[in-house]
Amino acid sequence: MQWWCSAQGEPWTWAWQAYPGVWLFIGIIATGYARLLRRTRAAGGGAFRSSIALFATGLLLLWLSLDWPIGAIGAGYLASVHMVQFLLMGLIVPPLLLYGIPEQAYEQLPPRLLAVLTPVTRPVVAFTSFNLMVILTHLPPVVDTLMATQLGSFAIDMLWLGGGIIFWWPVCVGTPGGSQLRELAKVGYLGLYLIAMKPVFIYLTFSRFPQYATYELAPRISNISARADQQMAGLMMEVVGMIIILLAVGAVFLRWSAREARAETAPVQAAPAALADPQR
Amino acid sequence: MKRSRAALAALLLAGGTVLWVGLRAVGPEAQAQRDARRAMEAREYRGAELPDPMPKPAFTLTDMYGHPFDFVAETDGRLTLLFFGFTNCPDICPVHMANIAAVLKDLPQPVQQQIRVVFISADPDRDTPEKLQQWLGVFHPSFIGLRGSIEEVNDILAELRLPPVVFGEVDERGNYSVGHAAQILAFTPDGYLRLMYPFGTRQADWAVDLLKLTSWEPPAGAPADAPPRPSQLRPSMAYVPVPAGEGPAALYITVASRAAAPDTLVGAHTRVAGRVELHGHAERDGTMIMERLDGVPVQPGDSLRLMPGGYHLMLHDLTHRLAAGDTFTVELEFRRAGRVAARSVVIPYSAVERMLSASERQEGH
Repeated sequence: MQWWCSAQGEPWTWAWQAYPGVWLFIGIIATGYARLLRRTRAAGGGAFRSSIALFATGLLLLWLSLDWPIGAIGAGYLASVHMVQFLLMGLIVPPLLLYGIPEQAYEQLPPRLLAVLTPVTRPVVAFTSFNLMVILTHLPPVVDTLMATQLGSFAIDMLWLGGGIIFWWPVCVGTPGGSQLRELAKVGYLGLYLIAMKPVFIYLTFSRFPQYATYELAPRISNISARADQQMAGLMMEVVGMIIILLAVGAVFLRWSAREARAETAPVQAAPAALADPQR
Repeated sequence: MKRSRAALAALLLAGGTVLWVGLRAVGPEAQAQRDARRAMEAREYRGAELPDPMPKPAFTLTDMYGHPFDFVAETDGRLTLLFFGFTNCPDICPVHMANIAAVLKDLPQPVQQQIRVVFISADPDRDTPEKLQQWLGVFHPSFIGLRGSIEEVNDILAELRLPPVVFGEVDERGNYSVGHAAQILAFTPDGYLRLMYPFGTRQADWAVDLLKLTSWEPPAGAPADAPPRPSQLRPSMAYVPVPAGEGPAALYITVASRAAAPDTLVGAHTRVAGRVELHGHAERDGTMIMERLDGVPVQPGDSLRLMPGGYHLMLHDLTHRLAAGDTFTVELEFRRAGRVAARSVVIPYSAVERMLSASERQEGH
C-alpha cells in the first residue's frame, strides 16, 4: 500500500491506484475548515457561500494535483506534470484557500497559529522564503533524492503548499497579522516573483541534457523525450506562472477600484442622513 | 523587524531540516548509489571499464531489412554500442535507446558516422523485422536491429560472458517478460569490448564518453609487444578472378600492418565458400608446386601481399557460381589480432594485375 505518490520506477499503468494519505490530508483540511466556519458562525458570521465555493475549488484542485493520476505521473514519470503540480500547489490553490476563508474567520484562528503566521507572513520573509524554497525544490539532487520516497515526495508537496500559502498571505489576507501590502506594493511583490523564477526557468528550458534522473530514467509514458519534457516544464513555469500572476494583478486592481468606488460613494449616501439629524 | 529576521532564520532552518530528513530517509542504498556515482565520475570514463578487454565476437545475424549482417565486418573501425533487448520492453530498453539517440543527434555529423548502435533482439518471436524497423526508427534512423534464433543470441551472450535470455510465464493475454542483460557494451574502434554501461547511464554521461571513445587510443605505457588490433591491419579490396567452371576460386589481397608487433595470417572465412585454404608456391625437386600453408607472417609496418604466383587464398566448395561483379565479405583470420573483414569483388581474370596494381598504389598513399 502506497500512502503518498512517489517515483517507483515501475512501468506506468492506467489502472487506478489508491493513495489513502492524500485522502486523509484533504479530509483533515476540509474538517478544519468546517470547524472554523462553525466557530465563525457561532461568533455572529454570515452564510459565506462565495467563500465556501472558493475554498472548495482550491481543495478540489489540491486533491487533483496530489492524487492519481496527476500525483503519480508527476512524482515519477514526467517533469512537465510535476510542474503542473507545482503551479497548482504553489500558485493556484493557496490564493483560493486564503480567499476561501471569510475575513471574520481569521479572527477565529487559534492564537498559537497566528503567533507563528504573523512574523512568517511579513512580505520580505514570505517572498524570500517562498522563492528560496522553489529554487531548492527544483535542484536535481533534491528532486532525485526526495521523489524516490513517499516521505520525501510528501515533504516537497508540503513545502510547495505551505510556501505558497505564506507567499500569497500578504496579497490575499489583511487581518489579523496586519501585514497586507498596499495595492501598488502587491503588484510589485507579484512582479518580483516573475523575476525571481527566471533562473529556474532558464535552467529547465535551456539545459543541454535532462537534469533529473527521476524523469530521464523513468519508464516511458509517452513518446515525448526527457529533454522535451523538461523544456515543457520550464516553459509552463514561465508562461503559466506569468498568466497566473497577471490574473492576480488584475484581481488586485479590480478590488482596489471597487474599494475606491465604495469610498467615494459612501459620504454621498451618508449625507442625507446627517442632514436630517439637526443634532449633528 | 527583529521578529521578521527571526522568522526568516527559523524558516530557512525548518526547510533545511525537512530536506535533511528527506535525504536521510532514502537510506544507505541511495548513499551507496551516490558513492558509486562519485567513483564513476572520478575515473576517466563514465562507463565501467573492463579490466580484461574482450575481442569483438564474430557472428552474422539478419538485420531488420532481411540482409545478413556480419557484426565484425560491418562495424569494423567504428565505436560500436551493442545492446540486447526487446521492443515490448516497458522500461530499460526504450530508456537506453532514447538516451543514446538524444546524445547522438547532438553530436557533430562526422562523430555520429563513427558510431554504430546495434540492437540484438532477445525476443525474436515477437520482434519481427517490421517491428524492429518501426521501434528503432522512432529513436534514430541509424540504429541497426538484428534478429537470430534465441540459441544464436544466447551463444553471443555466452561469448561475451553475459547471462542468457530468460523468458517469463505467458499471461492470459499472451504477454510475457524477457529477462536480459541490461548493460550496453561499448567496443572501441580497435574491435575490443572495453566498457559497459549499466542501466542508469545518463545522457550527460554518454555525451562525455562517446566523444572520448570515438577517438580512442591505447593507454599510455601500453607494452610495445601488445598484440596487433584488427584495426591496425588494413586490408585492401580483395579480388577474385572468375573461376573456371565449378572449380575453386583464388583470392588476392594486400594487408598493410600498422601494428607494433608481428602477426600471422592463418586462414579466412566467407559465406560463399565452404572451405578456405591459404596457399603458397614452393620449389620441390626443381619444380614449382602449389602447397597448403599453415600461416604467412606479416611484419610491423610492412604489407602482406596475396597475389598471382605468390601467396593466395583458395575458396573451395563454392555455394554458387561466382560471376564478375559479385561482391562478398571475407574475414581474414590472424593469429593474434583475430578476424579482419574485407570486401571482395569478382573480376575477369584479365583484370587481376591491373586491379592489384591500383590497390597497391592506393595503399602507398
